[in-house]
Amino acid sequence: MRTDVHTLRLGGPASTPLPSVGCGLWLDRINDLGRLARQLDAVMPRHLDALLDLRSSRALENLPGLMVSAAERDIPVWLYVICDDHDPTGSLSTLARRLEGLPGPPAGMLVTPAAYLKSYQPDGVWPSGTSPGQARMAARVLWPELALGGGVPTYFTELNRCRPDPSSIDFITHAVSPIVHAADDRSVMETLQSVPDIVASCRALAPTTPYRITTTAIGAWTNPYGECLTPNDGSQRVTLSDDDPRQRGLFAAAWGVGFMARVAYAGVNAATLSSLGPPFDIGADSLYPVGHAIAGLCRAAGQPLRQLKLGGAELAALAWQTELLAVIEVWIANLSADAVPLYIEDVDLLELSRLTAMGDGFQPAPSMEARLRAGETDRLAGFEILRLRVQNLGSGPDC
Amino acid sequence: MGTDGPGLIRQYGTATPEPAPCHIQLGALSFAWQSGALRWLRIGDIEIVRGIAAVLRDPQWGTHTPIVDDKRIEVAHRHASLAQDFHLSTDGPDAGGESLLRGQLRIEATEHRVTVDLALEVLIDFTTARSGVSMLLPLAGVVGGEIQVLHTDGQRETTRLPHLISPSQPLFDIRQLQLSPTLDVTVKIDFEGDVFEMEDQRNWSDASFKIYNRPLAWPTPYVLGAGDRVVQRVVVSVVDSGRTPG
Repeated sequence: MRTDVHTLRLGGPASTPLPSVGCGLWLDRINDLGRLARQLDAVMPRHLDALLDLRSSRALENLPGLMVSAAERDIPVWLYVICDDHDPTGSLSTLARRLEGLPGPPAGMLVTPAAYLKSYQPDGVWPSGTSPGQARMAARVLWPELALGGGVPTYFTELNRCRPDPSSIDFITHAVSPIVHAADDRSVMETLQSVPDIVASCRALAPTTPYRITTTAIGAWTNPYGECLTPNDGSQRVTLSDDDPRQRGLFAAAWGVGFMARVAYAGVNAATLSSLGPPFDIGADSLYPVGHAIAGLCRAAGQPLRQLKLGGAELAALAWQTELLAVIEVWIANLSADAVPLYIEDVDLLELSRLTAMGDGFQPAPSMEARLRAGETDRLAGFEILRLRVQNLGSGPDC
Repeated sequence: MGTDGPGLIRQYGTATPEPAPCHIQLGALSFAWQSGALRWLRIGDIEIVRGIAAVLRDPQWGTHTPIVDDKRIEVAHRHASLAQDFHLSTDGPDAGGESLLRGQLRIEATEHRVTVDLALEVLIDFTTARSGVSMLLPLAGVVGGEIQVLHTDGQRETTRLPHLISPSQPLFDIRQLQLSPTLDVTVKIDFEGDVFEMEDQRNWSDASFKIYNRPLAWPTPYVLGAGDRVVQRVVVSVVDSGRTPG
């Protein structure tokens, strides 16, 4: 185990704001709209990415409840629609009729023919039915004013192998699953190393198009590479599962903060983390740690990002300017299971809280706060998340 | 944060811990051994291999969890020998059921060379998307870097690995790779026992390039028949560690 002390140093403003932070939602898996409303109130996501499989009658039945609940809270809804492979206009017309009279309209829509939920080798045999581009054209006729996306509700692989024409899309989107190939703890955390390359590669496909990463969590909602997901009783670390135990622990909160740090500094416009209800639930009456982390990030979405330096790969961090111009909020997540020594430099520490235990959310930690403020070193426990509010003492450009 | 049941549940949502890695150090060369896989092979601080493991996929590309029958670790001053015997059961990872196949992954390591041997013996017809040894290269020092490839027909090729994520395989038909993750560390990696190719695993958010057996262009899933034997070998040789002449 490495025992290097990690020193936090704040830098100047970053070139991008903290992206819009939202949650996903599977309309065919919602069975309690009251629970959904409580989750919306607890987290206040800046947007919702709702997966709407038009082959599911339950998904369409839940649509009015979602649109009303979201409108009551001014939360934009992006619909990730799975349509029929052979009659996209027919199945999308059903949706258009359902949307009539509902609050809205949706903020945007991605339309994916069902066959494109599967993955195909670049040189392989591709589906003979409607292509995603043709499905988008069918949607364009029905909703000429709506933002229509290119990409996939699955993973970057599928987008990279079926690239949309950037001139025909209003946003580009894909999800990330860190448990496609390996599900052990270290491999899952190591996925964060590849995230900046994914963002750069996707940006290169559509350099000026808004980039929205859709619902991402420690899990996979569908298996593009085979017929089904891996069975899991909720206790196993297995690949391609939609019920990973770590989603309920601090691990998912730390991974989520690490993911947000990577995508925010890489400049995505929106990121969607976990879901309200299955498959990547965040808890309801008692939020999981990842739910508390997402709620805090949602509050800060859109704030100007600040650069920071923090040595070592064990920690992930992000910082933004708060509404009080001189006050910077800093989040530090320990991505490792081991305690990591931490020291802060050249900042006036105003407030410190930590996310350590299930259900409690961020809690003040007066003794740690006192030690760090006194210029002493303290330790961040495994997968713990620190939230600091600081004032820059250095001669940074904002002083 | 304790490693007791409640502490584990708080961290991982399950009280089941992962097996702890065992760390092996031979001079400047080090690696970890965890769950029957070699991980984080380094020369000093420079990671040259992210992992080498036997990977047994089900027909849906899910990963089987083998049942471990025996494991042995012997570490001497300049040599380490590690082996794990395992089998797959018709009842999955739980005990009981009939054995589908038996296997052994064996590692022989010195300060300059690591040899990984996989042997599988199929007992009952076994349908798989891929079964064999796979090796992961890390991203640091490798992305965008030069790589020399020796193909199975003896042709040599010098190319660069991609910066932007490649939708298809960056390299095919690999017999040997040579690369330098830093200016003064060069490694040579030999593959034997099947046709190997490389995938840009960043597509799936893995932090690695993967070299795996059996080309993706071949039909999947396929059947390993009762009585079949699979024997594959990967050898990682440190050509220049920056610490020794030549």
